[in-house]
Amino acid sequence: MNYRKPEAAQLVEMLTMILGVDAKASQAPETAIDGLSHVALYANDEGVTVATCSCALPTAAALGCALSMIPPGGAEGMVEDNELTQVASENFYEVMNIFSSLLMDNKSKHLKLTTVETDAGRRLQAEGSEMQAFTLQLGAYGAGELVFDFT
Amino acid sequence: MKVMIVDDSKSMRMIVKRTLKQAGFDNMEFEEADDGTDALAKMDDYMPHLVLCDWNMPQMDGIDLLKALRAAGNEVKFGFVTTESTTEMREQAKNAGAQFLVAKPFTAETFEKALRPVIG
Repeated sequence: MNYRKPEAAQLVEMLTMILGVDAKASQAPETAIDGLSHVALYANDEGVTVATCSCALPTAAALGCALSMIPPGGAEGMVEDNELTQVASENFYEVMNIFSSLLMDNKSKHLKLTTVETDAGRRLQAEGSEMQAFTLQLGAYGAGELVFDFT
Repeated sequence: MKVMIVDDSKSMRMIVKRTLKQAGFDNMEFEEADDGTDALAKMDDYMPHLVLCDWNMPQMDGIDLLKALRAAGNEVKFGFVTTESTTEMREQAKNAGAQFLVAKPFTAETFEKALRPVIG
């Protein structure tokens, strides 16, 4: 394995620091998570995608709103509209950028966020890739799920 | 003190400003840039005392901005605020001339600890 496996405790600490909400996270079986529409792709220094972080629209809306304290009602509106606002999209991108450090440490190889896609489910099913899924509680923004895939 | 904040995320620039205030740095005025190219274009006119800069940005990233400043003889105090926080990247930042590196996500305490030795 070239990259660090994200851990729930680490994710909780990061969510609390990024979002300023009382966050909780626990490992989840991947089969319990569907509708993964928003996928962040992370590439190595050669530009090859080596990891992804995927979630459904409600989670993306919650993360995108919480970063700049857009009220939870704003996230609900985006779910009803079936799309993020530009500000929430940009915020979600930044949250995914910060999540890249969940996958790295001083022993792992380097990766960085390259893009966020919004039209498909999990993108990385490389041979030998591992998966780590989490259920989240994001304070007033409600529940969410994340799936990390990494080689 | 004049501070230039360089980050391609508008929300992150806002959060940096807010966190600086929370850390007790009250006497700051700010200029913002959304990548290294934008920062370089504004540098001579604004003449900041301190640059707080993301690493990975479009057009020109933070390390290239820092190298360009130092190559031009600009010794402005410079710190990274970035997800790139491994030992290797910190060494790269230091070798290029950065005074500090604050890892995202950050707190007011981490900002205070990193900036106080540099700006007093």
